[in-house]
Parts: sequence; C-alpha cells; structure tokens
Amino acid sequence: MATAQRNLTEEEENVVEALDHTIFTAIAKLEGNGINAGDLKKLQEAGYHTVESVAYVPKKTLITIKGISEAKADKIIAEAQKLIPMGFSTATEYHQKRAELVQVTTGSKELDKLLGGGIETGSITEIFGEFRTGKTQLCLTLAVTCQLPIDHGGAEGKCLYIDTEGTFRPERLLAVAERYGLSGSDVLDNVACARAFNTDHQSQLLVQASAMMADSRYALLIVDSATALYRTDYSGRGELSARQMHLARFLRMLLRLADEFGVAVVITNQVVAQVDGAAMFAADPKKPIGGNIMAHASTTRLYLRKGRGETRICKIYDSPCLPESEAMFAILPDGVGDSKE
Amino acid sequence: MLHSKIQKIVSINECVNIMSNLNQTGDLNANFQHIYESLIFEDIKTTSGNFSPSLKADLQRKIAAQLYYSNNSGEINEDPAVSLTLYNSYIHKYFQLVDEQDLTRGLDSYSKGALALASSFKNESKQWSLKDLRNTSIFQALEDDLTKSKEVMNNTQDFEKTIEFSVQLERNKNENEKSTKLQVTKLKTCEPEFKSNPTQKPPIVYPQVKISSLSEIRAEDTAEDTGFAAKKYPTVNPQIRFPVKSEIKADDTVKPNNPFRTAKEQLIVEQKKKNAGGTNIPASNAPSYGCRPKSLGQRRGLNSPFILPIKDTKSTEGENNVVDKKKTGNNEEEKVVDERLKNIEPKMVELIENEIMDNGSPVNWDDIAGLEFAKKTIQEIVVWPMLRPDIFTGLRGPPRGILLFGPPGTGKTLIGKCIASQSRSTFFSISASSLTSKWIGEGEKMVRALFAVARVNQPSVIFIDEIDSLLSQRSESEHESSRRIKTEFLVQLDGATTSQEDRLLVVGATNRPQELDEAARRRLVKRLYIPLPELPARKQIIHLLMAEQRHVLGEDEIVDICNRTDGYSCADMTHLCKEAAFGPIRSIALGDIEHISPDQVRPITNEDFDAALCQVRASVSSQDLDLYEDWNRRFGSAPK
Repeated sequence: MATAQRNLTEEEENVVEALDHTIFTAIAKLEGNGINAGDLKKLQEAGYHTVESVAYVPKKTLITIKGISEAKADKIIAEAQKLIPMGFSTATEYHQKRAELVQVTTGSKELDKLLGGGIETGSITEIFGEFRTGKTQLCLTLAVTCQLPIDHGGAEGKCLYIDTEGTFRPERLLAVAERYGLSGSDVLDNVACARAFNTDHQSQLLVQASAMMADSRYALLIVDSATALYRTDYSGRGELSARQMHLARFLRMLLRLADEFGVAVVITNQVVAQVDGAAMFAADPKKPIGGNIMAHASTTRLYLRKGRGETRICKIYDSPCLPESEAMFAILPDGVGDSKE
Repeated sequence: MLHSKIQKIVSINECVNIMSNLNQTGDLNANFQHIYESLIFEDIKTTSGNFSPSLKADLQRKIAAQLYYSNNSGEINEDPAVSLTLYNSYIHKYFQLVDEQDLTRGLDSYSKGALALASSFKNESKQWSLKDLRNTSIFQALEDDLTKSKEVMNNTQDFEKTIEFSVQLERNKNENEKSTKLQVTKLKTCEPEFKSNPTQKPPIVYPQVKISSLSEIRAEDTAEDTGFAAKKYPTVNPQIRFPVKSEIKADDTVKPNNPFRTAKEQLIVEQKKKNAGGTNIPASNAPSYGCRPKSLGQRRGLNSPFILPIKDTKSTEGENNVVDKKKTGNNEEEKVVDERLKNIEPKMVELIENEIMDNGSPVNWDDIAGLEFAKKTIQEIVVWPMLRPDIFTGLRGPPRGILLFGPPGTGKTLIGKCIASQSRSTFFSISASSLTSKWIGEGEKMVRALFAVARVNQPSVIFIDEIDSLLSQRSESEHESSRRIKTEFLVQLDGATTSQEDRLLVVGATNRPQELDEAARRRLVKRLYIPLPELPARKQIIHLLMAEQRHVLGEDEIVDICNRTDGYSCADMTHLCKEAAFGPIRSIALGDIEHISPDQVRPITNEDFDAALCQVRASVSSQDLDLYEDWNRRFGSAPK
C-alpha cells in the first residue's frame, strides 16, 4: 500500500511537472554541494519552498531559522544566487515579461477595462471600502475566474483563500461556476480555504500556503480581510508600532509569495471614518486602515463604494500604471458582472 | 596507527569539552552549529577530493559524534528522528570505510589495532563479555531509543520488517528487564535476525569491539561512547528507516496540521451544520455537489494538482453550446464598438442610437405639394450625393447644413420626414429633450455622442425640428449649460475636428429664423424659405386630400375655394378639408349615425366648404409673413 501511495505521489509530481510552466524553482535543486536534505527540510519547515524564496530573503532572516548557522546561511545564499538571476536586465525584457503577464478577469467588463485586463498576477491588489461594497463578492468571483483557461481571462490555477471574517461561502462559488459553465465540484476542489483566528495564525498560514503553492499550481491568493484581525489584536497607540511591524511582515510575506510563485495576491482592507474636524469638509471621510505600511505594500489599490441598487463603483486609488478613474460594476446573483443600466 | 586513533578520540573529546564549557555559558546552540557545519563542509571537501580513507573516516566519525552529542543534549534538534537518521547515515558511511577490504578505498579493519589491545575479544563475539561496560547506561539509552522508535513505527503500519525488528528488540528489552543484568547471549539473539536480512551490513560487531577497546583506553569517556554505540540498535538498518522517516514527514507536516481545506469540504461542513439544526430539508435549490458519491482514487484534496474545471464535453454539450453562443454574442458586441466611440459612454451611445428613425409612414416627394424649389434643392443635397458619391466631392461636396424656415404648418417637418424615408441614410430625429440632461456637462456629451454616432453610421442626416430651441441667440442672460450645448453643437457641426469627408447633413426646421444664433446660421448653409402655398399648391393639396373622399366638387369650385383661401397655410388647408369632410356627417340625423353605412354618407359639396371656410381662418398673419420674407431676403437661399 505504501508503494502504491508513493507511486501516486510520483504521478502527481509528474502532473505538476507537466503543468509546470511555472516560474519558480523547487528548493530541491539546492541539494548537494554542501547543502543536504536536512537543511532543506529545515528551510521548508520555515516556509521556504523555492530557491527564489531563499535568494530573496536577507541573510539575517535565514540565520533565525533553527538549525541554520551563519556559515550554512552563506552557503545557501550563494548557491541560490547561482540559480536565480538577480541582476539587471533591460527594459525590453521587462516589457516583454509584462506583455506576457496573465491577468485574472473580475467578471465585469467595465472593471476589467479599468484595470487594464483584470487583476494582475505577481503583485498585490488591495481592495478596500465600506461594508457591502462588494469586497468579498469580488474575491469570491475571482476565486472561480482564476481557474478559467488563460484565453478566457483566467489563470489556470487553484485558489488559496484565507478568511479572517468568516465570510467565505462556497455556495457563491457554485453560482459563479454555473455562470461560466464550469464543473462546480472541480471548482470547489480547486479552492483551498482556511480560517485565520489571530494575526499570528494569519501569518502562520502563509508558511503553509507557500508549501502548498510549491506543491501544485496556484494562481491566486486571497486574504479577506488582511487587516480585520489587526484591528482587534492590537489596540491603541501603545501597540501601534508592534501592529504595524507585524502587518509589514505579513505583507512582505505576501509580496514574497507573489514574487516567487507569480500568483495574484488580492487582499481586502477595511476603512476608518475620519471624525476629526477637518474631515467634516471632505466629501468622503473614509480612509483605508493599515496606514502607510499598507499603502506602500499594495501595488494596486482599489476603492469600492456603493452605487445605485446593486451597482458598485470601483475607483483606482493607487496604481503604478493605471490612470485614476472609475468604473461601475454590479453584484449579481452569479457574482460580479456589468451593471445592466 | 594507534597513536593516530587516540588523537582522533582526543579531538572528539576536545569538541565535547568545548561544548560542555559552552553549555555552561549558555551559548552552546549557535556555536555548536558552527562547529558542526564547518565539520560538514570539511567532509564535503574530503569526499570530493583525494584524501586518505582514514581522514575521511575520521571526519565522519567526528560528525557522527557531534550529532550524537547534540541529540543527547537535546538542544540542537527537537526532532529525534531527523538527527537519528543523519547520525545513522554518517555512521554507516564510516562503517563502510572501515570495513572496506581494499586498502585504496578503505581502511580494512580499522579496528585491528584496537583489537590487538583487546586480543581476547577479537572476533569472538560469542564470548563477549560486556562486564566492563556500564550496562545500565547502555540499556537506558536502548530503552529510550526503543520508545522513540516505537512512536515512530506506530505511525506506519506498512513496514512489517521494522515492526518485526522492533518486536524483537522489545522482547529483548523485556527479557533484560527481567534478568536485570545484561546477558551477552541476549544481545546475540538479535544478531541472527540481523544477519538473516540480506540488505543489512554486518558492522555491529565493530563498534562494539572498538568501544570496548576505547573504554580501556580512556575510561572516563566510556559512558558517552557506549551510549553512542548503543544508540544504533533501534536504527541499525538505515535502509529500512528512511521510508519510515519520509512517511512521518508526509503525515505530520501536511495532513493533520494543515489548516487549509478545499472549498468543497467547507461546503459539506456548512451543509451539515444547516441540517443539524433539526430541519432536515435537503438544500434542493443548491446543487448537491458535495454529496456526489465518490469513487476511490478520484477524491481530490488540498495537494492534488490543479484540474481545469471545464465540464465534460460529452455530458454537458448543451451547456457548452450556451457558453459558445454567449461568446459569439460578446464578439458581435465588441465589433460594433467603433474606434470613434471609445471615448463616449456606452450608455449615451445607446440613447442616441434609440433616436435613429428607421420606420414610420413612407413619404414621397409627390406628397409635398408645391415647394418646387425647396424640393429640388434638397434632392440635390441629399439624394444625388447618395446616388453618385464620386461626383459630389470636393467643391461639389454637399453642404453640411440646411435650414428650413417659414410660417408654421407649411411642410417643413414633412420635408424632414420625406428626407428620412427617401434618403436611405441614417436619420436621427433630434429634439431638445434627447440632448439635455439634469446633470451638468451631460448635455454637451450627448451632442458629442450624437455626432460621433452619426459619423460612425455615415451617411447620416440629423433632423432637428424647432432648431431655435437648441440654437437660439446666445445672450448674457441665458443659462450656462444651454450655452455649452450650443457651442458644442457648433463645434461639432463645423469645427477643428470635423473632416470634409464626413457625409453628414444637419437639417434644421424652425419658424423663428430671426432668433437663430448667427454662428448657427452661418453653418446652416442652405437656408430655404418654405412659404405659404401658392394657388396651384393649394389646389394640389385639395386634390390630394379629396382623392380618398367622395366629393362632387368641380374644377371651378376648387379653384374658387383656392382663391378664397389666400394666406392659408398647408396645415390650414388640411384643417379646412377636414372640417368640410365633416359636413356630410353633421347632416346625418343623430339617430341614424349608428346604422348608416359608409356608402350612404353623401359626398362633400361646395356648401360644406363654404361652411368650413367660416370655421377655419388663416393662422399666419401678414406681418409675420413680412418678417419671414424680410429674413429670406437677407439670409435665405432663393431661386433667381
């Protein structure tokens, strides 16, 4: 039976390799030349499953892993940098790479147009807005659309969903799957979800996530919402610095996953009302929480607000390449779509 | 030989000493690691390079010793299985080197020298006496390892060999416990087991012997070294243990600890929760995906590879067709969107497209009585360019604007209708209501959208009835938004962005031409006066209208009526004829109206017209006419 199991895993590996037009290099490639399986296991336990992850991490962090000495860390980094190109390259290459970048459709044509095709893979997209502005609905739709074939606006990969607010509803996934004519059962199987209960757990889940991403092809990582737990786990100004540091580390890890595995990272964020005097004159006194750390970490920031009826308005709040403009979409029974007006 | 060996042992002891010192300072962990790593790197150098086997063996033993120490101190690795395996691999390599008969590759009985010291024990395993070993320490260690190995093995039921082995060892242990003192024969009972295993190497004897010799050499180190030797019992065969280790890894790190689960599992949990509430109503509206009976091997979990969730083509062909249809529909939609429309809101485009008039009663040029000049001009501008676009280019290009003005009810709108039905171009019938909006700025955008849509659907005619409502004289008192609509209109009509090639015609109709803005007047190049109908025209109207009615009017009578209706507009004429047509009906007695057949109604007579002429008066005053004629003289395009 054991051999049978091993055969199965081998088969799975083959399948993964067959699908493997992925961008990362498995950490097993580091083995030999002074780095043994034990070291790799230690690295994997600490959440480093790809050569990229090791190459991108500062030496300081590697040393903090139990069982990795300074000498070993140097060795590992040197080996990893041999495998991963980390130098300069021309803008032409960058341009070409970006042209090939897969974008995940949001389900709404208007919104896709606004985003220049959809949610970008390999970067962090932050969605914030008040309650009932469609953050979770957008996430749930994306969890399905990321499984679509690439020429249909998907990314042909699984979805990893970290739910901190308890709002994950598989039924919604089924409804969206119906809309795209997908097999509901397969769609559900391709979504891995976990409930995070505190901020430490939330970060811990990412270690697990990187293991899973190294295992099979993931296209999307959703954290809904990234900041909800921080709001309550840390309170007051006294803990502000600790909270921001923790949040920064969490976001850094997300960025690492996006870089390593080329997954699209979608996080949602809550808003805070500005109640001080100056805010009275502002038209919309709502700000995303998480402060500057959150603002700098996310590549694209989208602000959702409520429109008439089932319509919602999405505004580009910050983006490296998109103009500041707005689009209207609707939350329909089968996920996010275009408004019918 | 012996000397070097002693040196080796000394070096290990040095390490150990350093470590114990460090332990006291509390700085052991990092430093130990450092020593260990450097040893390993040295090891790699030696294995790759051409070093003497004794050096290699020495290093491997050092590493093994380090590992052993670390394991015992419990500070280095919390997972005993990992360090044990590592330790085994090194000790195994070491044994291989030591046991190698070929002197170029190995040491060939490394223990020879040691055995010489302990000559009485040499290869006489049956007569081993371990009296001088501290039995308790060996068995303490053995026992520890047994419990560890038991834990390890409990995780895997697949390795019968290992279990057998552990059972053997356990039996051994129990017996030992009974007898409290170690019997050499007990240990020996193990040995045949090992030897029966073909994959197993027979090195167990050597470390035993070696250690016994060490114990003689340095008595104070025996405790550690014997423990070190005893260590290997439960893990004596690395080939067996390795898969066990991997099993543990797979089980421990992935399955039970993984907080992730697939959405399907989550759905099942949620459904269970719902049903547990006592209401056993199956979720009939939700498709029961989770409840599908599963066959072995098809169940997919978290670690399964990605599978495209496309439905089977065989089973759901119909649905796929639907998807395909949707797709083609989308493509068509996308085709419609023109380059020129991309900056315009699709909603507005849709609104404007609704203004396109494509049906309605067909009107012929013959239906318009009189107005020969106007008809001819319009035909020239609208119809001919349609027929021969190649001739009407450049200087002969048709004008972009026509203004039809004249007193009310003279057929301006009818001309518009006629253009719509005769020109075979896209005909937009625009009024102020279709362009204005309650939102600031929307009106201008609508104008822009109108012209963009018209350009996309060339050739096109934009007919604006009562154009004075849109393009009245700009003044200081008017509202800003209406002014902006006006200016936008002017810009679109003839501005920097318009091209001469556009086949676009704006037809405006008004009865207050003097109120038009001068810029708009300039752009509406052909300004045609639609006058009150002349006598022949009035006659034609009566003929046209009376053609469908029974009447007894002679030609003279008609001319007489026409003479009496000087100053009547076409609308007045129509009204007059209607009024006259009611005359026969009015003569019918009230009671008969229900029963009378249409044939029995008497034809329309001259008297009816007399009566009607009393009822209907001309609606246009002569002063008004003077105004139009004056304006026509100043601005209008008139025949020579």
